[in-house]
Amino acid sequence: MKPHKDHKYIEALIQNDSRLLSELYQKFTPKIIAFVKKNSGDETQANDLIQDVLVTIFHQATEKQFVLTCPFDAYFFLLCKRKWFNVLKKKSNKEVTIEDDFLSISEKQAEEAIVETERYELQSTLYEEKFKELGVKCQELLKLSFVVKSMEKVAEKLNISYGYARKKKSQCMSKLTQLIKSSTSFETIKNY
Amino acid sequence: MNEQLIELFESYLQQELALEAAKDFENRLQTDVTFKSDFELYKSIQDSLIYRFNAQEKNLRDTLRKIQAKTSNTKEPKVFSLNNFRKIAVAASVVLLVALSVYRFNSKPSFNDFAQYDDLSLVVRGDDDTQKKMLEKYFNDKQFAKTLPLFEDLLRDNPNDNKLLLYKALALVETNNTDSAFLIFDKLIVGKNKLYKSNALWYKSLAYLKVKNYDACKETLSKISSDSDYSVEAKKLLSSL
Repeated sequence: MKPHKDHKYIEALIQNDSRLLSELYQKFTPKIIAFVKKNSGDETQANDLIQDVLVTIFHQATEKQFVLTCPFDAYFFLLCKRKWFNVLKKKSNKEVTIEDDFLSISEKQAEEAIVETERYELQSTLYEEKFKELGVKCQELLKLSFVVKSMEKVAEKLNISYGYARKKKSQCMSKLTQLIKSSTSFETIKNY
Repeated sequence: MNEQLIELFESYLQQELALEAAKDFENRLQTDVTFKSDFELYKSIQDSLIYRFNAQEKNLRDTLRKIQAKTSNTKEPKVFSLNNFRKIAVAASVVLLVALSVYRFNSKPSFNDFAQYDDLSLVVRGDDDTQKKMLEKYFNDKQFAKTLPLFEDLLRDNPNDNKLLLYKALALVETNNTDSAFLIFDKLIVGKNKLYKSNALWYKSLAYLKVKNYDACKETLSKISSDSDYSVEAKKLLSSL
């Protein structure tokens, strides 16, 4: 699909382009801050929300080569809005519903992209949570294998044999996949 | 997923399988749905965690935090209902008229209209001086208060470094220590280096502008020679005072 001209903001996140990111903040965040403030939040919470959403988009863009095919404004605003409602929901334990009738046309166009990003976020959060449930040794070895890539070097750094390092990695990844597969959100993500 | 399966995935991803075995693997991906979905899940977990642990996220968060700090004081747009729109439009035009007329009578230029600096750059390529790097960073991020102790330190070794002196003076003006800044400007103005002399004259006049000493500002501006880089700006400022 052809990228929307606003895809430049996604590129800016990937490139860490502070000039364009400043523009993004000036153009798009006042509306979000106003929205959070109107819905029992404050500016700090709004800023944290904005930052988290941007970091999610950044991960999705670098990992999944996400291409924006709709206006950034609607996409970003609705993502923040829905995430904020989720925060409130968790806090109050009450059901908070978003009235879809109020979606503007441009927001409807953005819906597909929003669903994709939300699904991505659920997924990576689940992976990370389950990773943290692994034992310290497993976490250490896996982390190293993700950063260093070559298992020879991982073995060297941990002062263990190459064969043992590989065996350990398989064991740890096996444990991790089991943890992920047996979690309830795994099914939710599948059907998202 | 059991360990054997993961060993197999790893071997395939690391391209360690023999040609025949790799072909078998790919065939299985086509025909065995569970195998395929397991492989995809495995890759997805691995890819996701790789991105979680690289340093880029931290860099991005740093940038975003900086931008947030800068923009947090900007006012948010108010949302008006349509019914009030006419009233507000009338009120706004009145405010605008009043503001304009006040502005005409009170249109002294301000320090911020003119104070623009080139980025401070001290570190030469290959030079790994963390103190200088920090100083550059703070200055260019406009965290002027933090630059002052660093200027002190560096000037202790090179008390006659014109560049350090000039930028220190700018930081002093920004942090409202104009008196100390004037001492440095005067030192540069009587110095031999023409470039720093003209810089010092220009920024000294801006410092006067900041403290609203318009007469002293005019007097200093008039000393800026016509071949200075600032002569056009200086004339502009002089005529608006």
